[in-house]
Amino acid sequence: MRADAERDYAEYARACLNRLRPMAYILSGDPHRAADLVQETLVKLYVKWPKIRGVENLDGYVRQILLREFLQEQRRPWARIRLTGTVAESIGGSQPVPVEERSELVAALRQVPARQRSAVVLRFVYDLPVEEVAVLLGCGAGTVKSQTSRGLATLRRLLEQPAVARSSAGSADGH
Amino acid sequence: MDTEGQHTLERLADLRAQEAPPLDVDIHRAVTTGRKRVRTRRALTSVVAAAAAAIAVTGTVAGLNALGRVTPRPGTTAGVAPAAAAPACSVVALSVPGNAPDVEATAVDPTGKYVAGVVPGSEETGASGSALLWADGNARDLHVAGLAPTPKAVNSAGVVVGGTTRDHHLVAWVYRGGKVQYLAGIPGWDTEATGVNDNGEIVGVGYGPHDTTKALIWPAASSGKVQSLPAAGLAEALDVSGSGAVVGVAGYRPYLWESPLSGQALPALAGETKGRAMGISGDWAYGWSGSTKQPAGDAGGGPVVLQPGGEPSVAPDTVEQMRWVRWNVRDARVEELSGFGPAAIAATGEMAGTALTGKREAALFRDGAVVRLPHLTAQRDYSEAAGASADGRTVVGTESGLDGAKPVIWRC
Repeated sequence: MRADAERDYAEYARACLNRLRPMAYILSGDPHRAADLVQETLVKLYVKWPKIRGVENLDGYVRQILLREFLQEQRRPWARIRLTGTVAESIGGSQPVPVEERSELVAALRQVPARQRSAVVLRFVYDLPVEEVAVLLGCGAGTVKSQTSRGLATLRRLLEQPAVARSSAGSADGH
Repeated sequence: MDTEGQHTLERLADLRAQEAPPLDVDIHRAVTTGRKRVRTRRALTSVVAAAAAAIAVTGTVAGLNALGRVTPRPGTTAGVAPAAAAPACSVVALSVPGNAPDVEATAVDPTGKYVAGVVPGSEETGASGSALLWADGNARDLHVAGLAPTPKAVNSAGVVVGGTTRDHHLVAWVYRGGKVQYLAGIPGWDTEATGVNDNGEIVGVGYGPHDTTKALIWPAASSGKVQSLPAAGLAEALDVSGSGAVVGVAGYRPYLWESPLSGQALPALAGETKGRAMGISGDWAYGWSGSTKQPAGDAGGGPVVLQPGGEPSVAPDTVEQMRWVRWNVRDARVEELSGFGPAAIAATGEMAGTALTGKREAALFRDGAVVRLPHLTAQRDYSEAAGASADGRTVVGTESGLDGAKPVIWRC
C-alpha cells in the first residue's frame, strides 16, 4: 500500500477504534475476545483499504466486518487455538467477566445466543433501523424482528434472575 | 411495551455511552499483519494467474510496444467497456522505468503535459520507492531522498511537490528546475506539501505533537519560508488554485482561504457541520460533508479537543457519516454527489474519481452523471482516477490487476 494510503488507513483506524472497542466488547462480553475481534477487523480493513477507502458509509462497512467476524468466531471455537499450540485463555467462554455495575448487562447479554444478541445490540444499543440490521446480519427484516424479540425476552429473563443464578448460568453462546 | 421492557431498552441504550475496558489493540500490528496477508494473497493470485495463463487460449487484450507503453488493441475494450463509458475517451498506460510492477499516477498539471506518479515504497520490504515525472509521456525518476516519496501535485511548469519520510519524519519537498529541495517546516513537526499552482505557491500540512495539525503555505516569493494559514483549531491546506485560493479543513469544517490572511468555512450539506475541502480548480472545489451523531444522553456533544490558542472542537472520530460534495466557491453553493467519489476537479467543475456503485472503476462526473472511463484490460481488478487537467480533457490514474498497478492516462 502506498505510504499516503497507509497514513489514511492509520488515521481512519485510529478514529474508528473508539467506536469498534465498545461494540466488540458489548457483543463478545469479554475484553480478550473483544480485542481479538477489533484487531482482526483492523487487519481485514487494511487488506481491503485500497479498494474501499472513500466508499459511502465506510463506518457501516467496518461495523459489518466486525459483526461478521464476531458471528464467524462463534461458529468456530477451534479458531481460538493459537498457532503455538496453546489455547487462548478465554476459550470456553464460561469464565465470568469482571463484575462491575456497568458490566452486569453485558454479562447477561453474553448469555443470549449470538445472532439474537447481535440483533438486540444493533437495534437497541446502536439504534439502527430494522432494515440496516437485516443487511448487516444477512437476513430478512422479519428474521431481525423475531431474533430481536427472542433476544430481548431472553435478556429480560436473565436480568430478572438473582445475580448468583446468573453468574452460574454459563454461556449460551452459539445457536 | 411494559415498564420493565422499557427499562431494559433504556439500559441497552445507555450502554452506547459507556466506555469499553482497555483492549489490547494495536494499529501498527494490524498494518504489519495486513501487509503480510496482502503479500500472501498476491503470491497466491500470481500462482493462480500463471496457471490460468498457461491454459488460457484468449485473455490478453493489451500489447506492449517497443517503448514499453501498453496500448489497447483496436476493438478489444469495446466489448468489456461498460455501457456508460465515454465513447470519446481513450486510455493508454504510461511507460514505466525499469518495468516496476506497481506504479501509480497521482497528479497531472493543468495543461495535461506533465504527470506525476509513484513507485510505492514499503517499510517492510525496505524498498524506498521513488517519485516520477512524465513530460509528454517520458518518465524520469526525480531522485527524491527518503522512504516512499509521494508526489501530490504538479504545475504547468513541471514543478512537483509532495512528502517523503526521512529519519522517521515526513518532510515536504519540491522538484523545481531539475533539483529537489526539502522545504522548511516548523521545527520538530512533520510536513507534507499537498498542492502547487502555476505561480509557484505551495500549500501543505504540518503535523505536530498530540495530533495537532496546521495549514501551511510556502509563498512563491518567500525563499522557501513557511507560514501558517489562519484557522481556529486543527487545520490542513490540501490544494491551491491558480489564483491562490486554498482549500482544506479548519476546526473540522471544510475551509476556503481566499488569501493567506483570511479564510472562511465552506457550507456543509443541510443538517451537517463537518467536512473537508480536498481540491480546487477555478471556482470549483470538492470534498465531503459530514454530520456528528451525539451519543444518547450526552447533551454536551462528542469528545472535546482543546487546542493551544484555539477553540475547543468536536473530535473527528465522532463524525458518523460523510457524503461527497462539490462546491462552487464563488456563490458558496454546495451539492451532494451520488455514486461518485471525486479525486480531482477541473476548472469546468467536472471531476475525475471513482464510480462507487457497481464495479469500482475510474469515472468522470460530467453534467450531473457518472461516466465510466475505459480500461486497458478486462482482467483489471479496479481502476481509479487521481488527477485531471484544468479543461477536464486529460485524466490520470491507475489500473490495478493481477500483474500489479499501471499508471494510465485518459484523453477525452
